[in-house]
Amino acid sequence: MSNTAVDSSAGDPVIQFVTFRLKDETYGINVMQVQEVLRVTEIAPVPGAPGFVLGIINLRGNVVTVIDTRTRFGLPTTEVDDSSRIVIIESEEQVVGILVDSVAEVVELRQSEIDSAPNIGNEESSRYIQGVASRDEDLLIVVDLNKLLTEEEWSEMANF
Amino acid sequence: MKDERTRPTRLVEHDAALGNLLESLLAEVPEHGRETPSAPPAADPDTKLEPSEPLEPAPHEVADSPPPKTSLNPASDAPLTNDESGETQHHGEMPAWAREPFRVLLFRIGELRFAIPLILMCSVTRIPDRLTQVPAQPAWHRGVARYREESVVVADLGLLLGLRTACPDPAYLLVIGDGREAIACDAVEEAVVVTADQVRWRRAAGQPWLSGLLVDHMCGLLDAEVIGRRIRHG
Repeated sequence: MSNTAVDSSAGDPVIQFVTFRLKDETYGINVMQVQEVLRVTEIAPVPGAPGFVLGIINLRGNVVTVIDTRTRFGLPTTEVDDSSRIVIIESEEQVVGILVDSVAEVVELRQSEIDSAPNIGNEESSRYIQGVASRDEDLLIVVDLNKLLTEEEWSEMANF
Repeated sequence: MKDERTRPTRLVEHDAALGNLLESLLAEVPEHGRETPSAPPAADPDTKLEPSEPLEPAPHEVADSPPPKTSLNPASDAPLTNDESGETQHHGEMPAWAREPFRVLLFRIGELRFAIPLILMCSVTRIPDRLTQVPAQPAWHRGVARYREESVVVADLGLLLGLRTACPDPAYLLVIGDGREAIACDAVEEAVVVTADQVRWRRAAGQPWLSGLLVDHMCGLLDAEVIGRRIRHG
């Protein structure tokens, strides 16, 4: 995926975000961390893996761990359907997949448009929520992928 | 003889009613949101005023006069201290803005009626059709609303403060402070002018979010600044 990241004018860079849907909300992740978007293929479960790990996939000969993003976010799980996608991301020097309900588009936001609104992301359990940004009449929830897992969890992921 | 007995009885009943009101306000729910809300002995509501469009309480009607440096109430001369949570302890005094008659907005959350000083409010608006649900937030976090180009965190006051009241289907948002936090409520009643002597001001041991009790209206007067801080910092 091409990364047309940024115009860093006036210290307020424009950042591109890949947006995806989970339940009723739209989330955004930095396009620079997205490698590709896949249709859901066979995911092989891994015995003893944490609850948020769906399993592994074979991506052109490489084993990639897939995270159940709904479970990670504390949302109810749902069946995979035609809209479901695995977004392959790179974070903390690891390549993992995150399962999402659907992928929507790429949007541009200025850093200043991301509103770390009060109490959003303050909770330890939601530290991966960077903030919210206004998109038309809706709000986009911006996710910091590097904080999606704790250091221990990232280390654990490296073992799969 | 009959009259002499009647008057003190009424006073005792009034005090008992205020005591019951205070008790109901301060009754904490062990696990937020899990208990069925009980019906506290709050006063019956007056006629409800359901605004047909967003109501702007015009806080500057009260706020225009600069807050006095000292209060007329001798109790307010007691020094302010901070508790462990950083919340200011008022030590039984009225706030400086209450020196002059002030307007409060009466509203309902479930069975409980509250008052909030307009000077500490930003605005009142109907709750949007949908609040953005941010994952992994505390139970009191109802969602985020977009209001006047700002993201406003909407709180369920009952869950935030551990009160025995529920607001499952709120109709209004009371936007407080600088417009970044809001309380969801069922009904907005009316704005009334209150003087300091109509309030039983909170004592040192009281809950910091409760400025006092409005005697005539039999309801709690909320400290929106403390509530705003709780919303911001959890």
